[in-house]
Amino acid sequence: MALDARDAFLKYLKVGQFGALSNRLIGPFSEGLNVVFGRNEAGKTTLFSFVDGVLFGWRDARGSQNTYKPESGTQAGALLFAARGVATATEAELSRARNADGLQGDTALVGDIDADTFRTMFALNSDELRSLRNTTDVTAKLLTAGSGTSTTPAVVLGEVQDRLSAFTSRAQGASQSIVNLVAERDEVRQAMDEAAAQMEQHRAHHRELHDMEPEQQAMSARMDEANRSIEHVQAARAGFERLADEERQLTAELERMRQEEAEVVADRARREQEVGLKLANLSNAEDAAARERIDALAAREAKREHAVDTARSNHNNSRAAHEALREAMAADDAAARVRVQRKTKVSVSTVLTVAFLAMGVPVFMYGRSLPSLSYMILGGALVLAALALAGATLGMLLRPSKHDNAYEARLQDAQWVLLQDEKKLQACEADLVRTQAEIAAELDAMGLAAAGGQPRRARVILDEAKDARGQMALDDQRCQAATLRANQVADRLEAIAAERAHLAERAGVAPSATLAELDDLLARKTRDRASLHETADTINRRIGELSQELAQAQGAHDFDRLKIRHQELLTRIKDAEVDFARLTLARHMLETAIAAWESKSQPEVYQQASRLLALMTGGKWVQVQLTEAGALQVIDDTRTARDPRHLSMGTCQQLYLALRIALLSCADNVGRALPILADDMLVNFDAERRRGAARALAELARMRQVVLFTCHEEVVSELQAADAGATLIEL
Amino acid sequence: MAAQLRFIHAADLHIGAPFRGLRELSPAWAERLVEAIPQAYDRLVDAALEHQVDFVVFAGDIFDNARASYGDYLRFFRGLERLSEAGVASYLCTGNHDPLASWQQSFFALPEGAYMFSADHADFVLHERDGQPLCVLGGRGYPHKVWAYDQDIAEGITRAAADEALGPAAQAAPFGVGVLHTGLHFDANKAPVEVAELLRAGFDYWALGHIHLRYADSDANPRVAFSGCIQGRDINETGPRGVSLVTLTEGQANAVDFIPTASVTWQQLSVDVTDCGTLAAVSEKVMREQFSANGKAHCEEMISRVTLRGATALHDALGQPGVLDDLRASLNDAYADFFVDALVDRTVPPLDKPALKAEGLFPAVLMSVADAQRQAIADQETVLQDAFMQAKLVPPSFAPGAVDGLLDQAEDLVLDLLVREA
Repeated sequence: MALDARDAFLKYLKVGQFGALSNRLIGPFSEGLNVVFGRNEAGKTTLFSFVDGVLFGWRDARGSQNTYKPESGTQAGALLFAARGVATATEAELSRARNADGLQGDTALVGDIDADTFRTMFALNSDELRSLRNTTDVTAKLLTAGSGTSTTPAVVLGEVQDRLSAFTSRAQGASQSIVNLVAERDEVRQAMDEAAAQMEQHRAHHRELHDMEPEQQAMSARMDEANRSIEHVQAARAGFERLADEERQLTAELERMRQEEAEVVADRARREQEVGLKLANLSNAEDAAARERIDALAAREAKREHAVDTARSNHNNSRAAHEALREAMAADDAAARVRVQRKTKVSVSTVLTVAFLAMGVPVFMYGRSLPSLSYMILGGALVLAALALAGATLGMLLRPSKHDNAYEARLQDAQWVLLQDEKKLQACEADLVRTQAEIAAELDAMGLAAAGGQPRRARVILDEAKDARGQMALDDQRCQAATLRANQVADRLEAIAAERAHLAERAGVAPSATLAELDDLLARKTRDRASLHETADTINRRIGELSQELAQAQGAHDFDRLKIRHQELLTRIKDAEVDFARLTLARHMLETAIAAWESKSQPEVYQQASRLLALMTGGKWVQVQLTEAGALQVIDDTRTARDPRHLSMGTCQQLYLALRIALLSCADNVGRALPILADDMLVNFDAERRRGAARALAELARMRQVVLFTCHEEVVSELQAADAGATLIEL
Repeated sequence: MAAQLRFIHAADLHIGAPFRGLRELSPAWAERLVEAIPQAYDRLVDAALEHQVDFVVFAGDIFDNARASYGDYLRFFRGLERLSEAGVASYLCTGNHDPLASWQQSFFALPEGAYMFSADHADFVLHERDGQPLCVLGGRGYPHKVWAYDQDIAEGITRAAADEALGPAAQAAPFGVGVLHTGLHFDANKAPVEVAELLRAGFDYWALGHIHLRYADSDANPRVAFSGCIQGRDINETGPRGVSLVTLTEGQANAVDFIPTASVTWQQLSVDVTDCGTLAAVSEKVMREQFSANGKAHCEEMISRVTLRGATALHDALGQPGVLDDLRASLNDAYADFFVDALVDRTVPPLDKPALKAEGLFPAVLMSVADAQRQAIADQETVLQDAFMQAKLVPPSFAPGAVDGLLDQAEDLVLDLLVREA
């Protein structure tokens, strides 16, 4: 069963290895005052340090301090505890071998005493008391040492105060400062308001953009309209110009055409008139027929004329013959000549006949003798020829008589012929006249009266008529052409007018508008368009601006980030306010506690300390107290207050001893199981003061175990005098 | 073949509202939170399109007092346009955070197929499917931020009134849905209405908004319901957040399914580190708590405020400057989906208070002073008031009972400072 700290006390020191000591058992100690007496080098300080070493670890070799390390191995030892008021053996143990293994055993016995507290409060020596002398913050040390707190309330209060002021600081780096946080929050709120206003603006711009779209479209339509209109006017202007030229040309042409038409008509009429209506309208077939007719008539006439000519020539011939004959009778030489000629002919022929015969008959005979057919034929032929010639000669001889008879006959024939021919001639001439009259009549009937009955002239007239007809046909063609052209032109002019009207309608002007008017209109419309363009530009620019702004705004998260920052600040402010409240309550609690402490516990401690000091100093110094500032003060019997610095070393030590004892008495729960060790602490005290100190220690021993190490017998006797039940242990 | 109507019941989008209770977000998480509500809204629209519902009901508080940024504003209308393009109608009413007055500038942006209930009288509209009357909707929004306490917002919104207002075609519609932004019986300041009154109105289902928690008057046949908000925004809005997919079938009970839309959840974690010996152990335990808490939530991403509690020897270490910050930083580096917004140290040093009390030294005095002060809380409150005013700060209002907690913490703080190594 674990020993409770409150019930335990140190009974034995069991040294395994420590310094010069080894395997020693020091004790048994009693619950109250113990004195360990030993000469120098008996091991008092060693034991003193031993307890510290077991509890809080062997000291490292550091500088010039003695670590009490044995020559071989390490320090080792144990503290043996027993239960108060029970006469039993040890019931608990605290041991330590190596530092690394730590404190072994009932570590609860150590409680919450740390090394510092132990060394300040429980392990007392002159050094310790002396070292206190170097600080004025004795309160802190003492209260620290005895209250189980490491920091004095005053220091804590200061810290709390510092922390609190961090909340109201205006310094830049004070992140806790509510003041700063609130200022930042207000800044952020303002930025948020701006951002919200901007957001409203964005929404309004969104709306504006939405409304502007139809406007933009309308503007675009109007621009298109204006462009179109200007184009129309320009087209109209160009068209008008072009059309006007053309119109002019065409009108002139029309005039010409009309003129020509008139001319041609006149020509034609004239020609017609010249040629005669009938002839003028003769068709080709009729013309050909007429020509044939004329030819026929001409042929008839020619025949008659020819007949007449023949008759005439015959008549002339016969007359001539007749005359010739009459004249020939007078001329015989012709007949003589003929006679001579005849004679010649007869003689020649007779010769030839004989020749042929003379030749022929031999040849034929020769041939017959041979018999060669060819000679026979040849001979035959020659004979025949001779015969023929003979016949001819005979003939010629028989004829002359004919010549003279014939001559007379001829003359009579010639006269008869002459008479015939005369009659014939007359007949033919009458025929001719009649024929000519017929011809003339027919020609007249055919409309060729101008020919005067002359077919040749009729033909010429026909030719002329044909030419005329041809001309007329040409005229007709010309006329047609001219009319056609005139119609075309007229149509074109109409088309031009229509086109002009169309252009004018498209351009919105009257067809009769002049170029100048069109130019004016164009200029006006161009101006209008320019201003429309400006307006459209303005709208487009605005739309562009808005679109860009809104596109950017869409991606912007600044507003959201501000909101987050705002919330962060609100949270921080709330947290800071809570922290501030907590610290405020803490400060208030602390202040109240400090006040209470000062009015209650501290007085108890100081009361005790005062009593102990008075006891120790024999009434020289009567009071120990704290000033309002928290500094220690001692009051002497003359009620003079002095700062501890002004005390002598001895008195100072007594003061601090008194304070310690008072604290240890009041804080009777702290380190209950541990003894108060004093290592020859009273060396600086004179006999009187020593007696007082002994009595004080005895008083302490009533509540706590005290072990005093000393090498002075006077101290031993004083202690034994102060406490009869003190245990003496000799080393 | 019984007629069936399916629609999404959503409410309390609060587009543009910031997350509350945050302390120190990293830039990455700030960006994440900026996107959280718009993303939840996108999920809502996606769900509507995926389930091919007939229409979507937005029962108020679509926007928030804290104006939405322009991008989010557009995003909302873009979502409505998406619904409209897919042939899904939307019916909206305004709430106390976005009363009709605040919508004036935005009406033009509502696309075809989006209908906003009027705010000054009961309003009715007929929803048709393929030219046939399908559902009569009756509803009303908030005209201004505050609702006059003596007026009944549900007055006149009944099936009979709807039929009268819409004509004979409406009578053929097999379903009737009511839309309101009201506190019902939960919030008496925001147009409260009795459930009974709504049940009497003759509608098959009431799609309500304003309460951020899901609620239905009955599980078997829910006829009056809140869909809750689509994304929790502060430490008090943990738990599943989303929209309801409502299926009304002629002659059968209503079916309401939950569709989660939230992507970030909030948690308050209290981690007892009494048995942690090292900071690494603390870190591990916090991580375990985070995972355990997140397991119950429906979101992958979680922001938490972690309070370390318990009596541990690490208390001193945790109190060192920068230790908590480092711990928080290492926790945040550990897992990208979790973010610790604040790590608060409420551990106490392992003090044996009875022992200290028994010692009778300063700590004991302090503790008895603390006890005395605990009996007179009113005085403490005065102390606080004075302190704030003296520091020229505005004294905050503390909840009742908060000051007691603060006193306990103050006591621990002082003891800690007293006991800590100097």
